[in-house]
Amino acid sequence: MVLISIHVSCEKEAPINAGAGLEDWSEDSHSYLAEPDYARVFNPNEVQRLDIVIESEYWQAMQDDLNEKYGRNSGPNPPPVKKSAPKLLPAIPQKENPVYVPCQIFHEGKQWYDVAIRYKGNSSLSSPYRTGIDKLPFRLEFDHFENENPSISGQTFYGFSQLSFANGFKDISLIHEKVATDVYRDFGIPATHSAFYRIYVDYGEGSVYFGLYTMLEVVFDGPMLLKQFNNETGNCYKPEGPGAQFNNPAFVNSLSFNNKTNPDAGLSDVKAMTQALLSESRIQNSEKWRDDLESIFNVDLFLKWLAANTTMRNWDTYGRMSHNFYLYNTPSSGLLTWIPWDNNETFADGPGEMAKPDKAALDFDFSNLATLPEGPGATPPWPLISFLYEDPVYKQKYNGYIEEFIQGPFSVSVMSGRFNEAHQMILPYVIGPDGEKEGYTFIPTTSDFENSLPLLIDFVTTRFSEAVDYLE
Amino acid sequence: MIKYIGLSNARCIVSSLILLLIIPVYLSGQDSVRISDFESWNEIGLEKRMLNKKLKLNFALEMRLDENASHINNYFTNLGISYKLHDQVVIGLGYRYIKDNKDEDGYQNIHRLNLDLRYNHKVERLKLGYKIRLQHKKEMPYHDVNRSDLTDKVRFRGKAEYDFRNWKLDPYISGEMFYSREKFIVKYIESIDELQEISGFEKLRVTVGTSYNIKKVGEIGIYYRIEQEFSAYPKVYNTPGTYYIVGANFIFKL
Repeated sequence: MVLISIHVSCEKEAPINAGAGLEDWSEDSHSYLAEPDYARVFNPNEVQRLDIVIESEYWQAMQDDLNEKYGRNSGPNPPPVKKSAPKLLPAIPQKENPVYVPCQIFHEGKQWYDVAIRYKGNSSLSSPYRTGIDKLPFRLEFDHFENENPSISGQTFYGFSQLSFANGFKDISLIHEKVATDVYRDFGIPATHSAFYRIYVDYGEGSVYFGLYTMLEVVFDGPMLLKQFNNETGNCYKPEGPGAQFNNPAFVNSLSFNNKTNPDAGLSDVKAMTQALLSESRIQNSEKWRDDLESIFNVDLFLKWLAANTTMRNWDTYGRMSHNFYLYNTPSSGLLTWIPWDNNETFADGPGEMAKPDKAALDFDFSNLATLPEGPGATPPWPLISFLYEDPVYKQKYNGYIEEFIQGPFSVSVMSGRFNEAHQMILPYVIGPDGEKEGYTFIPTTSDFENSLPLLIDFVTTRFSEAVDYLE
Repeated sequence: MIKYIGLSNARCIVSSLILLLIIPVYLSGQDSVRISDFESWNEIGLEKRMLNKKLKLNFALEMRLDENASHINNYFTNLGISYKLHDQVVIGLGYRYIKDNKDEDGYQNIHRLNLDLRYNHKVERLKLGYKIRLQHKKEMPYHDVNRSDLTDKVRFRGKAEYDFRNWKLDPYISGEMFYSREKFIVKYIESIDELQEISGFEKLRVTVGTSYNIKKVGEIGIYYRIEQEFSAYPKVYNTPGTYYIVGANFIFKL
């Protein structure tokens, strides 16, 4: 057996020593060993330029795939299906992700090789696509094609394996996403870093300006979890669909809770959180209910987010929609932590303030939150808000965070400064000779963009007053 | 970036010899790239000489084990014919049908043709031989991969054997350089086949061995081989492997 073990030691394996023959490859910029370079990639003082070159046949395949999934020129989005009586295990309409194709990325004179690019998003993708606007949101994955081209094994963009590009859909100012994520982080809420990028695409007909995008780090990519949680190994869920309302344990399944970091880990943490939230002890022994809930869920941080989100009036998330957030099971504490995502509809009243009240952003006291019981447990649709707000201890904390928020990161002077800085920085790349072009913009006129700044400042002023009124 | 771990050749030689006597130990495979391994190549064959020993026909079966000689890498059937044009010049033609182990995807069929030209001469008791081989390999579609890959190689080999007096196990040493050109399809997405072509010096093979002639029966041979890939060859991806091979063969002479 000793001899066997000696010869066994002859076999050795190693990760591919990538970058062979790739002229621009360097450890700092391309390797999986690169330290995430936040200062460079998310430079807050500059609108950087990124060039994407896609071979025409791959571009065509990308368009064909999108057309197959969404159908161009088929009119606006179909109306949402009216909800019928709740079922035990409702099917979630799962649209297959658009196809990844290879492209070459150029940034500051360096090339990144065979990077995978695909369209991403829901209405921010389907709606502009159907109406003929080509400024579509997309995602880059730098090592996706490492099996097809092992020379790019572990490729990153200065330490980032994946990056997401938001197109500013339903945001005429184009700064909602950037400012909202900055504000969340300043308030101590984990949120992605973001930066403005000018995107040029050459798909065989020369370089075309596709418009000003907001680039975001991807939550479940290593750097964000490492930077903000000091650990990337915990379960990172992207909740979506009925289970993401947390009002019925039967809906907690892998369709509603896609575990992006540990797909085979099971859902015991999310189940425990839902059960603790819905427990009868809430009525009988509220202290025990809070203790149980706080043993699995970072309630404090959720209340902080709820206070900030409600003040900033983002309707497109929990409370109105069962999506646009992540839950990360923080290894150091074992607590599920709320991470906001997709904030382009922040600083707005929602699409249906007048026509569809159920799509309006929530009021400070949640008086417009749907509370009609539904499902076998007859629980309200959004218990994570309604149950917590009903609890006097949590309500007091929530109110305290609103106070802290409006006196700190959301004060009128701070927010005006943020809006003004971001607006002035992107202005030359949105309007004017170097601005966005027809077919690649959501901005109808120059004045619409120019007016977006005073409107945002008015919005903050109004919300500040409304918050003060509420607290009084 | 990658720490390259050297190996003790002596340790491999000893352990390799022991391996011939033991039952292979099966180990589970891993996904990462192999940068060194111990392999065992074992051949059994038939040989027939005709036309005043100018024409030689041969048939052989060979199995090659990798992953510390614990896993079937491939096995094949070899058919060959060679003709001595001159005392010192031999031409040969060979065909090999290879079953290449793709593990969970089963075995892939590979056809290989080779054309050889050899030149031999003697310097006193030293036998010297040079061989150039043109080799064409076609990897047939397997599993759900609906395509064939082609590889052409030019191989240059030099061999020296010393004829000791009153000694049946004359040793030899040889070195062989491989120049390869590969054409293969890469599918980044299902609907598009991207043809890629690469070429370059791929690897060097150094062999020491000996053989023993059993009168009226055949010949038994044993060798030790080191195969070194070149990091510059595109398919090596800057992560060259070194392979330590112990081979044995037995050829029945008809």
